[in-house]
Amino acid sequence: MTATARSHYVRLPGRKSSLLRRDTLWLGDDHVLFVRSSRFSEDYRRFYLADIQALVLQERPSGNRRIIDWVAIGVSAVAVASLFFTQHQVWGVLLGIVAGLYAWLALRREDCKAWVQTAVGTAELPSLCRVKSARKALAIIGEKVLTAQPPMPVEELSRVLETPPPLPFAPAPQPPPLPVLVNAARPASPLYNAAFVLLLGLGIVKLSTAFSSSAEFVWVMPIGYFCFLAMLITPLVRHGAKNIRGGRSAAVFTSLIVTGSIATYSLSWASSRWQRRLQDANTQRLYDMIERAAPLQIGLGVVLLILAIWGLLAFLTTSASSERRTSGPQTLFGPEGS
Amino acid sequence: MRLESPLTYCHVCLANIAYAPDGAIVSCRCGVRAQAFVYPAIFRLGTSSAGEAVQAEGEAVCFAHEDKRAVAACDSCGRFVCGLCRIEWGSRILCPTCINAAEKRTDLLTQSRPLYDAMALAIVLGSLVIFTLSLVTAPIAIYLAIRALRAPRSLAPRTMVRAWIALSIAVLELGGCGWLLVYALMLGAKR
Repeated sequence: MTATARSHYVRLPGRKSSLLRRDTLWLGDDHVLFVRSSRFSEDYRRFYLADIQALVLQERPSGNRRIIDWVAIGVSAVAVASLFFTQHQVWGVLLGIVAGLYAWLALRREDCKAWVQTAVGTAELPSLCRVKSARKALAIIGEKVLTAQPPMPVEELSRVLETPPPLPFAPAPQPPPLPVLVNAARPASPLYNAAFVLLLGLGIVKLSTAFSSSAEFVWVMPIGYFCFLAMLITPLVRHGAKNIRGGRSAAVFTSLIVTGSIATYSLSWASSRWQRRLQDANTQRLYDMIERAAPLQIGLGVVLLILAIWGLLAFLTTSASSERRTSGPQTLFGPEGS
Repeated sequence: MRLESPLTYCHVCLANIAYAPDGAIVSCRCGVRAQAFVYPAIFRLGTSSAGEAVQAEGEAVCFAHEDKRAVAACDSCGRFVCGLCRIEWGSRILCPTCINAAEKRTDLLTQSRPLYDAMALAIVLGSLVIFTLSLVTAPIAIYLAIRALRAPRSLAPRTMVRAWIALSIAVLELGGCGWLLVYALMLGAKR
């Protein structure tokens, strides 16, 4: 590390930007400056050329993704043009917006990662996330690094190679232990099962009210819905959504959305009916007629039953299989010893 | 003396990657193509020392570590430093305290910097949406813009266009507010 006057930085290729963050890389006189801007402030990190030990680039396989992107953009362009010619300009504009968004995301997709290793440690260079710009930037940095680091004398190199520290490319004698995922083995909260059992009960009650309209259930249903929502939201808040994935997550969030909507309307219905009851007998009769609309009630009951059965199946089957799987400690590659 | 984790792993499938010593591209089993460029610094042995313990009574000791023998004196404050505290700063030897003090005076140790010009511009653009807020936001934006022009700039080259634009808009907003106020007063006086 040497003290120098204020450097004149030159921008290196590559940039990673989002709404609230922008990462860039700059080349100084004797160091590479990584700048992370959060729009209203900037954080800096310096990698001195004399200290850089290695630069690593890993490219993701693109496969047929590029071809798919171009085909999708081409088909969208043709579709937009044909919609405009057939006087469906509104749909054309909407499809154009969607296609434009897709093209923008496809063009900004990351396809590589780059790291730098110094004597202090390793750091990722997030601005080098596209292969073309990453190669250019690494070539520039590499050239400067070789200038800053004089080649090692032959006798010193041979001494280093003979000493116990392993060669840089020699395989590690012992692979590092795989990190244990503590959360992976955590079972889902039993509240989810209880909530879906409650939803099953609510569905049955809803179906029964379709055939025997009874005023006793006017307040029971919204209360039941809100109990169900509370039983789903409580474990979500306490443990997060990390340990419910795949089918379980879909069941939980679909149930939350559907039951939340039904609960809101149910509460508004019950309160308005309660208010009208005191005012007018004719309005009361109208409400009774609507409530006796069997197809609507049957439909809602079936929806609730489907959600309940889906949730129960998702949670019971997944928990059984996870119990079988998680007999030992979980690692990144699955249970240890499997 | 070798590549450290996570460089040795494929970032997609986490499999171990054996890089080619000559910088050639190697493929992982998942299709990721990896390449490592290695420089002479990787062979360099570390020069830092943990500091030697005091051997005999009466020996000079480190200012920060009483049980460590002093190996040098700080060129700035003169304190004795051990091998651990000794920092080579160009041709000078400094202690950690002087390095901390220097942090505020040099760009070479700056870790972060606020962007007052971006703040000022965001505030004036926001106030254009809700014009009634201009009376409050315009002075704030002017203060931030002036501060941006006076404060140390971003380390990376950055023009002051944002600060000037923010300053202009804020001044115009204040002028507009003043004109509206005068107009309202004159209208009231006529009636």
